[in-house]
Amino acid sequence: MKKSLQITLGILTAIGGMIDIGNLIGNTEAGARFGLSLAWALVLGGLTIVLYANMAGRVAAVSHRATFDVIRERLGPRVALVDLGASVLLTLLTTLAEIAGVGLVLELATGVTYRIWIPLAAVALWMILWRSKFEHMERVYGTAGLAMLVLLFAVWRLHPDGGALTHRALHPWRPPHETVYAYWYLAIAQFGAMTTPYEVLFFSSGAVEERWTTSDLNVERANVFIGFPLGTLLALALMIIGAVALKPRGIGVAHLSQVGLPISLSLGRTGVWFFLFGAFAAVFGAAAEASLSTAYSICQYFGVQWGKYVKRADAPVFFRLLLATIVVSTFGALIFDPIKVTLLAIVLSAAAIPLTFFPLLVVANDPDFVGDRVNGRFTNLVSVALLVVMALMSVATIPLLILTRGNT
Amino acid sequence: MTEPVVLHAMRDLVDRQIVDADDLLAGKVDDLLLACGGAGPTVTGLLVGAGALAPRIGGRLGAAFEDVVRRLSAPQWEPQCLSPDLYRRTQSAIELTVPREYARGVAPRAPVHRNLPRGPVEELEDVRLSDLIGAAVFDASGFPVAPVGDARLILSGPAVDAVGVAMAVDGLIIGLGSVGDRLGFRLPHGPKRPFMLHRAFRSVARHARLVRWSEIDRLEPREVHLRVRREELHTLPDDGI
Repeated sequence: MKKSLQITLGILTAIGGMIDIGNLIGNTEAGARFGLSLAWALVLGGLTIVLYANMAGRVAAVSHRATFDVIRERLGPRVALVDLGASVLLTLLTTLAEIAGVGLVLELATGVTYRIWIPLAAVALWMILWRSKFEHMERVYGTAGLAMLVLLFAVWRLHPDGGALTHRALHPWRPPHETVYAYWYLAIAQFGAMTTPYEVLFFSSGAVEERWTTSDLNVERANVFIGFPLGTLLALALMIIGAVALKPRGIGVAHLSQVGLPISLSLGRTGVWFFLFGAFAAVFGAAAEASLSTAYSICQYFGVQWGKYVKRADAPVFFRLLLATIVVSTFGALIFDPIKVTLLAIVLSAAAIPLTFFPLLVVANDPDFVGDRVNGRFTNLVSVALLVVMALMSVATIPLLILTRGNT
Repeated sequence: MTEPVVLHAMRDLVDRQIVDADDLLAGKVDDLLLACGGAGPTVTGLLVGAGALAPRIGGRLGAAFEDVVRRLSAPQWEPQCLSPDLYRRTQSAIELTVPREYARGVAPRAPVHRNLPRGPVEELEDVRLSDLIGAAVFDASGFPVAPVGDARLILSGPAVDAVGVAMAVDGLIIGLGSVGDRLGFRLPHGPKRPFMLHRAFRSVARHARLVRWSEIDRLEPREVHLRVRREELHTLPDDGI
């Protein structure tokens, strides 16, 4: 039992990062508009996050160094500050979207408007981050998030035509009424939703919080190779649900209720309650991940004490930053449209990741950091190729954002 | 004759994490304080604090950074100077020999705003490493060479796990090669892969040059003027630690 609980960090990171409010909306919307024509971007994003999270986890376990600590040391304070600015903006937007997302899930469950739930969700989030141990938080939300396996059950009950879906996934196609810009914009969004920088920041910081050492590398690998592929599979299930249940009916995804609709059709009330429970755990977990990641990255840049593995009095700046993140995000969640914010955040994620991933690739090959556990040749080859893809996406993101007017 | 123990300041010291005697994080090395005189400058302390970091960022970004961080950290804005008897260098960090509260109590504060050093090197007093890094270098005939990327330090003791080791500035490393050097690609035991990055950075690093301190004539704000011509500059030795 204890062994199986050790992989909850990976499951929390992956489900929180890959099945958060951005994915619930973004992946389902892509399926509803393009079928499985964008499945390649999702799988590519899943492969990328597996490779780079594995590097971040290995560096953290062997050297006890979290990602932003390494970024500043290797890239210098100026470039690292640009990266920090982009990361903090993204994690703030994500925290905003996730806090609102918790409200949207509760709105779907109770019928009470999500704005009422937002302040309550924020207070609960702060209390949990302030009071509970990292390990407990990780295990509760990592395990509860497994309720999202209901998505796989829903796909099975929808009786999709496997041959047609596979054909569409392998032969991407753009419906005539969709523009080529919209296709590539959503492709970047799918990739960005899978590779949000906070997944890596949280996973590496979590490894330090858990005090992983070289002897925990098997646990680290199990976390990465079980947690992240599971997250990718669930994201793919969302896309299939959109393609099978929404696309033929011409239903778009502008609200969480449209994601719940196919589950209601295929699994009835019980399925919907499972979905709501899993979505609550995943989105709340993502809110915790994103807000912690904001405070982690700022503290690591300045080298000040961070984390829940020390007494609260030893890390006052960290807890102040955490509180500020939640307060700012809560006000943002009350003011802005959370669906638009979350879609913007996942697209901008794709633009920001190369600066975070490049130094990771370098130190994962540096014996000073990882001893003899450097990357293998094949890992490096694929990682460099993916880094080039990420750089191209990074360049294309802003022009596509302007050309598509943010996916409209 | 034994080889001198060498560190590259930006690669091996600056931006490293500082950990105190209780294993708590105590900031990063934001700059080095150098005392000039005699044969050349020596490192008299590690500067820690946002006030030392802001000038290193530079430009509008640095000004915006300074504005924000100064408001947030007003009482601790001036950086602290950790003297060599307060720390030891390890392979990946700087370890304080005392708890961080004690270090904060005994370490003096260094002024934030001051004039950039200018004049013949023999007449200079205190210099900060950030005054030199990024400065444009001109040779004896006034020809621009390349910006300063790093400083080469000679140690009077072991590079790791020793307290109170004196460090003297041997010279400045100039050219783009310092980028690959900082990423570790020039180290004999540094990363060898990914092959393409290793090859590219090693290739660029070949163009790095070393300017001995004795070859510097004078400093101007953000400028270093040499007494030798660029053809006379040394190639950078393969310094490993």
